[in-house]
Amino acid sequence: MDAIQTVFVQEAREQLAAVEEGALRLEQGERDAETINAIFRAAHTIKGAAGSAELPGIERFTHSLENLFDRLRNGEVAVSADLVGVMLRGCDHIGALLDGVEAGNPEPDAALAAAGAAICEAADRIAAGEAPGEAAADPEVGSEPAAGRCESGPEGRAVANDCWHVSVRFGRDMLKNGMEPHSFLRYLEGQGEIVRLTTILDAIPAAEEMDPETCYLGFELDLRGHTTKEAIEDVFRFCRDECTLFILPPRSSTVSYVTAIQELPEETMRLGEILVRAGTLTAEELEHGLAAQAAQAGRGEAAEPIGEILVQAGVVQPEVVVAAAEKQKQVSERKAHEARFIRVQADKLDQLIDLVGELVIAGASATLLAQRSGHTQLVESTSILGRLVENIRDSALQLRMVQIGETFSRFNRVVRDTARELGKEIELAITGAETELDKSVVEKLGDPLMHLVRNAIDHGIEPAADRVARGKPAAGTVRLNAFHDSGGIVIQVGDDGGGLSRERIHAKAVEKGIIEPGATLGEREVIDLIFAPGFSTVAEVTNLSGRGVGMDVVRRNVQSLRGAIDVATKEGEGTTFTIRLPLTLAIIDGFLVGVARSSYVIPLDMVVECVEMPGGTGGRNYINLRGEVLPVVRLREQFEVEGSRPARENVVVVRCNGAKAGIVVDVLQGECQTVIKPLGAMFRNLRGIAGSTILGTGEVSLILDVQALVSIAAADEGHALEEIMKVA
Amino acid sequence: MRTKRTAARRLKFKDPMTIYEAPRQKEALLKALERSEAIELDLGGVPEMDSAGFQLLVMARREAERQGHEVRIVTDSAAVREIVDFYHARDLLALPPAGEA
Repeated sequence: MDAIQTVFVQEAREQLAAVEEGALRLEQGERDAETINAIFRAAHTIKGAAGSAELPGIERFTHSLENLFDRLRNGEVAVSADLVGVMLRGCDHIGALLDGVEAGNPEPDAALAAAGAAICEAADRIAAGEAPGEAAADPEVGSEPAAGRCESGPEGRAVANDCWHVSVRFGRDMLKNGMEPHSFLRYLEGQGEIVRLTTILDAIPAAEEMDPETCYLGFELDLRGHTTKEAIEDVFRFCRDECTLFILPPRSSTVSYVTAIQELPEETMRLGEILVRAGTLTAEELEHGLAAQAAQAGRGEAAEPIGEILVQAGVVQPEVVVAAAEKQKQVSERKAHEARFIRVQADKLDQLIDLVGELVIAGASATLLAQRSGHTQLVESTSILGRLVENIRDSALQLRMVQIGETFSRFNRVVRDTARELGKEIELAITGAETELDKSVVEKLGDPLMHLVRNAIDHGIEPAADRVARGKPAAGTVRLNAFHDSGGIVIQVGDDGGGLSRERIHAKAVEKGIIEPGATLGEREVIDLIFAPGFSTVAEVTNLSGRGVGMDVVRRNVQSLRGAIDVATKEGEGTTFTIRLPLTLAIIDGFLVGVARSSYVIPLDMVVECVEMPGGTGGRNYINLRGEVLPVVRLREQFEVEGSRPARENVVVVRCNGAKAGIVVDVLQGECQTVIKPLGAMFRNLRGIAGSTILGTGEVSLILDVQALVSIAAADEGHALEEIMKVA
Repeated sequence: MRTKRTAARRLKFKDPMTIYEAPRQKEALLKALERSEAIELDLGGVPEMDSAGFQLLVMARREAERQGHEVRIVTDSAAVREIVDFYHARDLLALPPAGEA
């Protein structure tokens, strides 16, 4: 696979996601022009790119889908379940073709080709079956691009925009005459809400020729409100003689837009693009207007520029003019897109992060040396350097941050398909899609999330009849939610289904030999059994879940990301799984503490405060923190550090998962940037240690797993309580 | 280009930026652009701005771009924000994000 094809596969997958999303939106009843256009554009892009990547198989297949989408957007085919079905199957097929390209087989094998042909046939059937007789009767017209048959009358179609459109170019002497454009527009707001506004600055000349007292401004704006043309004209009454003003009522014909555009001083294509970008017109409407006008020109009716002369002279066909215009539009759109994003290989980024990590360590060592030297200026300059390194670190880590929304929206399709397969009606509610987290985390999160979502659909949501009997809406809801919480990210997968049944879990665990029949367990402990290896509550193995990959695998996946998973359930009301993950896997702000001669790092985000260890606590594992009972862990005992306790000890109060605990240490050594180095496989089962890092001195320091320590503290406290109860 | 940032000349406007001051301010802007490659505009004290003032900012940015220089608006005032936001030109003028005056 060559470089072009690699890029193509990646981009095609993104476009494919757009088609799929569009198809699902169609199914949900969103049938506006923008959705349909987005589908068409995405398919069109795939087709074009496949051509340049020399993958004729994909190009051909996408072309036949594109034909269908084209008829769809021209209103010749209605949205139907069949149509959406074919679209989704088409997406899957392109996905399979892309898999083939990645595997090094650019041309599909016989089975895949046959499947493709079947989809094409279905697409053609839908396209032909529901098309109006006229278009179907004339196959030549049907195979032409959109422009060839889009006019529906001398005035063309109406645009979807339901706003008044106002184009105004203020007169040159406005300002000198004491009139202020800003005030007129503010006054216009009395007639309705200005929903879109683009300031046209093309008329401002170069600095030398520019007269600071001349007005060069123009505006294209959309006004939403119940008003009349007269009322809008009235707003501009005082400057009416000086300015160029066009007012188009809501849903004007595309041709009248194009006519207005051509009357205005700016170049037609540029202004057209501005309107498309602002959202006044869709690209398709502009294209349509131009085409309809060009068609009029072709019939010798009144029309202006844009290749009109060429058309009249019979040099080129109107479609060619439109195609050229579209090409021009695409070029500029692509340019705008490129300016905003650069594709970078992921491993280059990882390399950068690694280097930044080394930089942080080297910087810490330089700072330390500077401080020891006592050279004031050196200390000062290393501290500036340190701050810059910190900024670079933050920016570098930011580069890897992506929004989780993309991962979430993939589940739309999963929920749709699996719900359908099971004959359930299920909606997916996504919140917090804009929450950002490390890309490497997102990638590894896909499988656990998939498992949780499938579980929710399969086991969580009850059949519609049961739901109605329980007084719940027939359609179940699966929720995906994400948010930031004290230096970490929280992802929740929830359902409003039947909840987990304690009795069934208990019975199942006994049956599987996970617990002894007579074992008495707390509520929490029973629920936590679902994470035990080899546990699955559903008797029959369905196609969806129960493939032998259990919740224990989900938990292990999450733990490998230094995260934790938790479940909350209420019988009859639903279940929510909560995954907590650190924001990044690479570099964190740490708080350095010392016990005897070794030092440890606590993630700074989790530190609440530091207090001196109160005297006279004896061997107890809790202290009194301003009237609050705080369980504590003595690092010295936990890690069996040699040496005796110093006279004064300190407590670092940490918070994790909503629980607070104290960590007792000898000395507090302050903040430090911490590059996380994973521990070797040998240390995997160590409790309380999350990783290691290298300090400025070159010494190795261990990073504490605060969550584990907090649960140790809580457990010790629990045991102590039991002891007391027994004595009592 | 980054190294020049430290040497940027800061230009502070305290008067209104309206048609009455525009001719004088245009000269000041162009002169400053001639003398240094990077200008930081401090508009934090501008009590009033009209379309003439707005046009000047657009002109200054364009002229700087033409010469390969840089004009950055580092501070703005409520009056500046009012008109720039109304004209949807915040990105065009690369104004500091809202709330960071």
